[in-house]
Amino acid sequence: MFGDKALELVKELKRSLDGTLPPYNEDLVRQVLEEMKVLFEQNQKEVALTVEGETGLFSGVHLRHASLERNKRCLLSYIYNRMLRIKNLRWEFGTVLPEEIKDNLCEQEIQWFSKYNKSLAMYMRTVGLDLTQNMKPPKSLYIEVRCLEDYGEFEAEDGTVVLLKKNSQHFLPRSHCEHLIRQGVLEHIL
Amino acid sequence: MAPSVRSKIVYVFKLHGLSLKTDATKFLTEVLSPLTEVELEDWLDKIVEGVQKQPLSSSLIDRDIAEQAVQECSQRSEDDDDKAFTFIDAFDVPRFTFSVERKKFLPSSGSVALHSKNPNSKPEVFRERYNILHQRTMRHELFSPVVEGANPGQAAEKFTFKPVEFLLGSTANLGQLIVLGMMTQIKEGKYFLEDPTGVVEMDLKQANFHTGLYAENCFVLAEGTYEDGVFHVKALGFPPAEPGSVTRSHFGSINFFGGPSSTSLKASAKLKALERENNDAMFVILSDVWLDQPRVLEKLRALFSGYSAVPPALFIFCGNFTSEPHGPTHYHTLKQSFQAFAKMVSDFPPLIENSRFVFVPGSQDPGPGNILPRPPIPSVFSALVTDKIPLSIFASNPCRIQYCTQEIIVFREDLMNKMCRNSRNLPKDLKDIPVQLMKTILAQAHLCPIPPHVRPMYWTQDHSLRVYPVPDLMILADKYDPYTCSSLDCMCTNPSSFARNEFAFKVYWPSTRELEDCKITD
Repeated sequence: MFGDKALELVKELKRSLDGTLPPYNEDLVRQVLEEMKVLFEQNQKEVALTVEGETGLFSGVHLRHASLERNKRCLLSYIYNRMLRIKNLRWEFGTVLPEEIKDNLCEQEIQWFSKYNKSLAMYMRTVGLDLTQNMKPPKSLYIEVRCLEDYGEFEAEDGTVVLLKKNSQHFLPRSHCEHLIRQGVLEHIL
Repeated sequence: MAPSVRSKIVYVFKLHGLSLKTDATKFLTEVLSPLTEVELEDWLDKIVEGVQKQPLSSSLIDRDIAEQAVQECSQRSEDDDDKAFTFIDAFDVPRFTFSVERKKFLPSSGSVALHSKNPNSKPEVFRERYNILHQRTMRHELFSPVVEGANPGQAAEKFTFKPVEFLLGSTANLGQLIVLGMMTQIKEGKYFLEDPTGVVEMDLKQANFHTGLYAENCFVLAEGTYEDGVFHVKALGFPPAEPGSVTRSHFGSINFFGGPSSTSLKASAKLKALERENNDAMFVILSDVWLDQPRVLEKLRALFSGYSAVPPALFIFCGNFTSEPHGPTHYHTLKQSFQAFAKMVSDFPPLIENSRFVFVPGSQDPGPGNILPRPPIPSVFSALVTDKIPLSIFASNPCRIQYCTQEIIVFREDLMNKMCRNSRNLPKDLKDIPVQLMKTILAQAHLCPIPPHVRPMYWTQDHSLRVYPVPDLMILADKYDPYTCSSLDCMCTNPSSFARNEFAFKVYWPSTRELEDCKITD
């Protein structure tokens, strides 16, 4: 049936867990595009025949056109939803994606990701505020954290150096260590 | 000043989601503190960009990465023109493995030891070749899945191929089938078809060979019927090759070819313009330059004096550089010949200033055993030449040359002879052989698709012999008669033996992509 493959793309994305990103299904996208190409060519041919005076072809053209539109919508929503997820990755993981995730992105998505990073950084600079901080309203300025892995020396903005060793505990300004908590290096002790 | 510069650096990196190690901060502060505030911001932006271009594994930046980024920033303005030529050693060719799950090429970071520590590397060689050919064939229009809504006629033109497993697992008569696999002789005199899922015996008595030279270890698409454990082949063909542009459109701008650039230079408009501008650039290609023979040197002198008025961009000299093994005095003779050669070239100052000289070793030239890829001629000999000709490059065999946007592979090997001797069939018309050889190489995506016992190669370096994506020019220096043929936007040429074949050589004009036969007559 027309549009089956395109729907499958959308379903595949929907089935995957929230916040994860399945590999870009280039094969299926290509197949959908090929299907669209065939539909378009046939439509063109039949429209040309109709113009010449043949009748009774128009319902077929309508059907194909509807399938073309549907395929287009499916493809666009596939790409758009992936984009939204990639956007979330920036806020979750920071600018450097783990290798496993990066492999699931296609070339253009990686480009988009780095462009998004750049725009975000530029915006934050003009505003003068790090928007990735304090995603939830903070209760206190300093928090107690435990280090979950050997991270090495960490330097805060004001120049203080903290050696983050596994299982060590620190009392740090929340703004300095928040992104490390998000990356899973530190753990907030409540 | 210093603390504010420092905090600024840390702040900008943090906005980009990167954090710096202490030594990196120190380094950057040192580098950037002499700048004014406005300059500082500009440079910081550039450095952050440089850092992000590098393959980062975590958001923690250490001194090495920072240093590299700074270097890249400062270099970029200087050496733009120098990129016209890049010479890529066979041992530096990047290695990509095709990931079947992700359907894309991933750079493999595995061990690059010359001699593999475990025997898995050998089957891995063939598995990787299979994966590349499999994905390429699957995408080919003859084998891609039938499109919904297409004409019924189109479905009949489509084929599907099955894995060997499919044959082995069935008892019923399956009718006509196509299988992609590697030809092997597991038992003496009997051909088998092998793929990652299994092995099946082939009966080639009735087989009809399509164009190509079918040597052992070649991958073939075999069509036939399966009966009583034997695959009766009716037709045998190669998996269809695809032009380099198609490969690139599928896999993006990965730099398969090698060189310092992280993306393929094919798309670079600047280099393309440079290539078009230099419309008088030419490459002179010679093979079997027997420097120990006075007559060859004499002819070379004639060649150089002819070209000294219009120095070519590149001379490619392929081995062997001696006419015969000289026994105990071999190295001595070779040293003397290189010396004589260098001395002769130094009589033509325009050539020394403007031309590059590339030397590709042949099988008789000094070096470790006769295994592919072959390292460059040792510096004991090459130093004699590089002293006098600073622009000379001693390359490996095979070697790759990136000229502007063009990709050139140079391979010195008597391939024609070896392929024909090991081929299961030969074309009736001998004139077809060069075209068939070229088609075989492109279809196999490998420079030397013959068994390792005929032409030994390093298992872990097999990727350096890959011809995928298809390059722009393949120079297969051979002692066979000279030929030039082209297919799929790729030219293939053999300059033939300079010393043996009446001093014939080839000239390549990169701007128009033309090859010309040349000869030095008496």
